[in-house]
Amino acid sequence: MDEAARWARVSAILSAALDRPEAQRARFLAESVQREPALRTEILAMSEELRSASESGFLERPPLAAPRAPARFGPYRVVGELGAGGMGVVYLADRDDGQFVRRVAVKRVGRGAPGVDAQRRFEGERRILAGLDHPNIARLLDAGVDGDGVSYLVMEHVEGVPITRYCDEGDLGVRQRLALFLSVCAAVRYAHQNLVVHRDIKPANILVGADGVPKLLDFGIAKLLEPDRGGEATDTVNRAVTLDYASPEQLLGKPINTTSDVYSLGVVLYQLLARRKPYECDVQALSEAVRSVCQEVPALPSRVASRRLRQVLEGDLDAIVAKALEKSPADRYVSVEDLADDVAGYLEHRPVRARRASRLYLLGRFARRHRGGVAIATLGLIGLVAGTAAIAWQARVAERERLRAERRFEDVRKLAGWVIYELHDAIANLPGATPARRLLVARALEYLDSLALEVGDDDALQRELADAYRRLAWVQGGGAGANLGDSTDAFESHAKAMAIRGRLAARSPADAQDEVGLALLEYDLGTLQRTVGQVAEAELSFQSAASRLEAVDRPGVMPGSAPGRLGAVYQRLAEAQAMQGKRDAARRSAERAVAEAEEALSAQPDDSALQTVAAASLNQLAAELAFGGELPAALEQLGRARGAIQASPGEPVRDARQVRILLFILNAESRFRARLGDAKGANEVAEDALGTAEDSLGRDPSDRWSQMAVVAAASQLGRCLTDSGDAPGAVPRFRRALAIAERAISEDPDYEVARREAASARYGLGRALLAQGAPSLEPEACDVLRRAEALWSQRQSEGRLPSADAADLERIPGLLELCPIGS
Amino acid sequence: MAGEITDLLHRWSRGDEAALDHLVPLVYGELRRIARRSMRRERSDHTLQPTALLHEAFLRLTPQHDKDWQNRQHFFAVAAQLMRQVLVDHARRRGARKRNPGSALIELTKPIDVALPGATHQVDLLDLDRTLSELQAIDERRGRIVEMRFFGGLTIPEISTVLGLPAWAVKKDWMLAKAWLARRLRIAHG
Repeated sequence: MDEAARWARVSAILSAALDRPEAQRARFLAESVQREPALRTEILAMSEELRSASESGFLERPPLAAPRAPARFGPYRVVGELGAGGMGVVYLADRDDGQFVRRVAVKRVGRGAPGVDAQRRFEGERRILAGLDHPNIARLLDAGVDGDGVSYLVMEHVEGVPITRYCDEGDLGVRQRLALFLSVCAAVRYAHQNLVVHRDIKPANILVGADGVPKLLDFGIAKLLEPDRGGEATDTVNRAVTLDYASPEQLLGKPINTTSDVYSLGVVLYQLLARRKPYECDVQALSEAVRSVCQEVPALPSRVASRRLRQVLEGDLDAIVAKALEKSPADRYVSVEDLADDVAGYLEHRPVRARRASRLYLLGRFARRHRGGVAIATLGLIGLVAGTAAIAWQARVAERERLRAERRFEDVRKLAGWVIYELHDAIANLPGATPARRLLVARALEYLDSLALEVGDDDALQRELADAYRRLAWVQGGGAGANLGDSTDAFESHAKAMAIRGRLAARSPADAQDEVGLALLEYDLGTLQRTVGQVAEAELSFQSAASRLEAVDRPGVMPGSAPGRLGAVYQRLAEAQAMQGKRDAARRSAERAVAEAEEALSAQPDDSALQTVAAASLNQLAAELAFGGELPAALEQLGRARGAIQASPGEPVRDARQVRILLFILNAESRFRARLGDAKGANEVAEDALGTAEDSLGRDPSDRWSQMAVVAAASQLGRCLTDSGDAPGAVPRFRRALAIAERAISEDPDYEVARREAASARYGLGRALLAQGAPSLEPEACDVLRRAEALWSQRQSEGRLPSADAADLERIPGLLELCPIGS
Repeated sequence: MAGEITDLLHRWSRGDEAALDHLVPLVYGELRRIARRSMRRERSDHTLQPTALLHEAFLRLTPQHDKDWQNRQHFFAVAAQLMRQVLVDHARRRGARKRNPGSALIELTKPIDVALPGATHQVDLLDLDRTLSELQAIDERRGRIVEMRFFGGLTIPEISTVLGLPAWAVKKDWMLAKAWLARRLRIAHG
């Protein structure tokens, strides 16, 4: 293997690994390394490089030096640079107005001049923020626009260290830490009363000065910056807030309110008490971060803290932090005030709200509050009676809440299922339905993400969720018709499904159903990768699917599990290998596919899904035989393929998938017969194919696949007619093909299949027109040939021109010799 | 001239390679003029960002009514390549001037050196340029992506439009290309 070939292999493996959720990558790489031991060192080294390059931001800064610090911002003279954060560079500046010098921090925000609307919003927000006046809040002093039209904010300059560092370096005890935290809460509460949400509370934004007074920086700045950010939602999250402290609703891009700040305060409190963060989020893996923040319940602070602290944190403080960190805003403290009240309650040995439900707790707390009191027995008795009544009442309330939550969960679950499984299909093929489909898919994703937050530990529900994400990925990736734009969404949904299944499989390795689920997801991933042109990656996924299924299909593990599934996987594998020109491997896989499919079919001859798999596998094998020049053998396999779905030729086929396979078979048969010199046979089969395709289109004229099937069949028939000397008869066939393709392109200019088919029909039309030798036909012939040439050349330069088209492209200059130059 | 460039861009986007040969000197010259002017402004505290430069070039080079997005993207692809040339030329001359002070050469702004992940030393733009050419020799597409992203300042979605590839694929390509470059530079620089 030369270097390019080695890199092609290594990069395909790593690229396929990146399509998997993080937890699945190690296993996938280990498997790949086993399959290609010669590349072991390179794969592992490059995978390490991949990680460190992302972490270090290698090549992420532009190749020009960072802009030199401007000398002034309006009346502020720049004296230094405080640092560069996610929000841009921060300068240290002085305002020198003769009387006294005021030191400030200046933040440049945004790249260029914002629009009028954005400016108006900016101005409005700025005024609100400038009104915040609290001893624990760094003030926004001024704002303006510099010479480049870039906005800047002037803030009070705070000298201090992040609150966590301050506490650790000063070795503050729990009570001191809580007291400090209360000052922070007071500031946040004040801002909330003024209707300002911070949105980015984190230790780096809470500086404690030498005087021990904490000050919050950047109040509301995240919001202020929003209009300038634009672009992808994930990107906004990525840059505008810090993942580790962002609330689930923030990560999911849902509306943010004061309870989001409660959550972030909870994370800070967690860190102050446990001395580590509840989640360690990898900035590169946003989806993983979202998953852990939205789904995982972090260990209680007492569980992760040192032994010395454990006893102190257990109970009240654990409960307070847990309540602040509730996934659903509705379960959190309603306000910062309530959170602060509980913290203060703890400091004063009062009962804390977070634990109010427990009667024993109340008594325990009570006893501690009246340390050494003598009336405990009596009071305890009263408490017990009152407590029992309260518990009965609370239990009823709790039960009602639970039922309500369950009902809501059921509703959302049904709605999500209905949207992705039924509504989408109902409109999928309607012309112009794309925006509606996009909306539906977006809504379905919201439903699923919110379900993911509430689904809990129930395995069956988790599986249902994984299947729903899988189905959604299929819809997003274009599996259900036209592509919905960006396949990134499809890969993300797919990774969510895979992450859920992977967790379930890891939890109960004995249960084969999740292994099968993962195998099916590998199969889907391969299909998705192939759709976006990543054929080498697709091959790896199909291989991975096959090895998982083979492991599960061991006798005794899951007898008779998935008949025919392995056949379907090998058929796709053969296809992916064929697309890369790996003829031997493709043939072996096709043979294996045929064996698997026929074995399964012999047990259940009437199963239409198995018939389809068998036919597709035989068709694949025929294609490989034809490549090897074994045309008679190829035709024989095609005959068997047809036999798998049609008891006799001409028998009507109803199942839509079987119609598709049949059309592939018929087109191949027509081509092979033509190559064998059997023009009559080729014509007959092509007519049969066109008839079948037209029938299918007649049933659903808006169905894209049927449209393309007619285009392909009409072009094939046109070619047969041209080659057998009936060029005038071929012309209307090509015109029909071209008309349908052009209509599809006018509806969707990016529809690549239609564009390629149009080029192919133009080429055929040009050839058929020229073959008649009439000068009056030449101008049109030259025009269509040139247009075919233009598209094919472009595809060739992009490295994505199928070999059959490439061969036709080479013939165009010869055909164009008749044409005037540059006409 | 603006009309001529638009025409060339159209021809090039339709696959006419000869159009590119005519396009390059025109755009390159203009880019240098813009760069030189930006550099003068740079002295008065202006910043110079590749994307800003390319946007400006595009606005100057094409008529106002030409808002064709595709066309714009193709322009950026070429311009990113030119940007690389400009920067590398500049870095090379800066190196030469160190040995030969006093020669009056245009200065864009100081090109940064690139920190290798996990390593203490830095590599300069010329090393990166050479290594990128090596990548392009074995993996043309990913090399071009680096050119557009790093030298041209194009975003991932913009590159995905230029190449007609899904954004997800481009993002992965960019990550893989960076890994390859980092490893190669690490091997070369111990």
